[in-house]
Amino acid sequence: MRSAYKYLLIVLLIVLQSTLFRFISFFGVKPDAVFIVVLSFSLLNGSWEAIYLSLFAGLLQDILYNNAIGVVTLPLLIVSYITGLLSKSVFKESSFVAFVFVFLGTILYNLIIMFSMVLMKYEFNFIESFMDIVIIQAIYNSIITAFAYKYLVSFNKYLIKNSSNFFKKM
Amino acid sequence: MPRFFRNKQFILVFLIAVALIAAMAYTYDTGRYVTKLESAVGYIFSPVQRVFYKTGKGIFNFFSSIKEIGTLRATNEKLQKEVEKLRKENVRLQELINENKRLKEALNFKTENTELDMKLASIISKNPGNWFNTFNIDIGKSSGIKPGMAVLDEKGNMVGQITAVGDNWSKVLAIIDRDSSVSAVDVRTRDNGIVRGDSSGGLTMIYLPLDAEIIEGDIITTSDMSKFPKGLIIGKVTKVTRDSGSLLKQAIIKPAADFERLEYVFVVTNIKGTGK
Repeated sequence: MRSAYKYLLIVLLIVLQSTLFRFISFFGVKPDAVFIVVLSFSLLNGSWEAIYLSLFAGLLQDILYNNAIGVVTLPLLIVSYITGLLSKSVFKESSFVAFVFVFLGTILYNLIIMFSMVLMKYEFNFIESFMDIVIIQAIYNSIITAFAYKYLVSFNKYLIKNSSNFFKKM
Repeated sequence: MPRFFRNKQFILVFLIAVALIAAMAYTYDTGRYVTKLESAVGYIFSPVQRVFYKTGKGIFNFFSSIKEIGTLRATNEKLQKEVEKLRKENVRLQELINENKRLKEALNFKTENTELDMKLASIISKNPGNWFNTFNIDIGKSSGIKPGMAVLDEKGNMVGQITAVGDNWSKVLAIIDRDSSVSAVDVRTRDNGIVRGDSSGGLTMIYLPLDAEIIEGDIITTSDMSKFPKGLIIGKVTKVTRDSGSLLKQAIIKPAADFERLEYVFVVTNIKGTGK
């Protein structure tokens, strides 16, 4: 099954994200490649894909790195599910649409993380963190998306074209 | 809206979300051994991550050493002087230790066991997100690691503590994480406080009394009240502030450990029974 490639790509990105990517941080903020890929596939393939991929990517990251399991999975699930639902009513293959979705999605994603941090009694300055991390990451992520999205679209086409008959209707 | 609740997919997502919130509440910072499944995930990922981490480290060091070439001579001279100074100080301290020992023996004091038992570990990956400062190391339960143990860098500076333990990997919460708090003491004035992180690489010492004589340049170490061994160096005071209206002082502290360049860490395996 060629759709396994999608999951392998996510695994690879998680490893790269936690090892190599911290050396390319910009104003101390790292881009989130896993988020970009999960959101792009949700946009292309709809809400079921959003659920599968966000659970897979989110749980792996939470198990490996985070203190509370669900910190990443929950916001990822919510954002990509909404993207999957909205994808029906937009022109999916446009890089600009993906750019907008990733920009707004990154902001919502981080807001949910901040909200769960409030529940876990973290102390932080909301406005400062929002400006220093969320906005920068939203810009960073969406610029990467603008360049990378067309490759993800063709990768996605490749996966669909070659998948077995059962999945052809996707 | 009612149409939404008849949608099976939406109900499924909703249930998963509730389950995730429950999981968050259950797993949050309990200082636990991870489940078999989690342990296995780490087991599979660790070797791959280690390779990539080493590679990234290499690239990073290459570029930063190019950047540093210009200042090397000056740094070298400064360090040479520092070494001289420390050597002299060391001799003096050795004498003091001997004297202390003799006096203690003379008084029949029971000496505390301040020796640290340490295990070497290497870092295999860091938290990919921007909110949390945690990293993973390559030893775990099979090497006798327990949640709550202190983690030091190569020079013995405090880096963090173990929060979750797998079979051969563990998660470490860095002291610069927002969630970290360590009971600390000013070496010179013996003022007690709590050191917390701010996730952007800085530390703040809070709950300092107004009459604390803490000043810039003081060394802060772990105090005897925490679960960690006392005397582990946390950092240096860079600024002391006083909140107007509050009856407490705060101090900004520069961590002694260099979190950007950590590669190997030591896990202190003696842990006190008190505390959490």
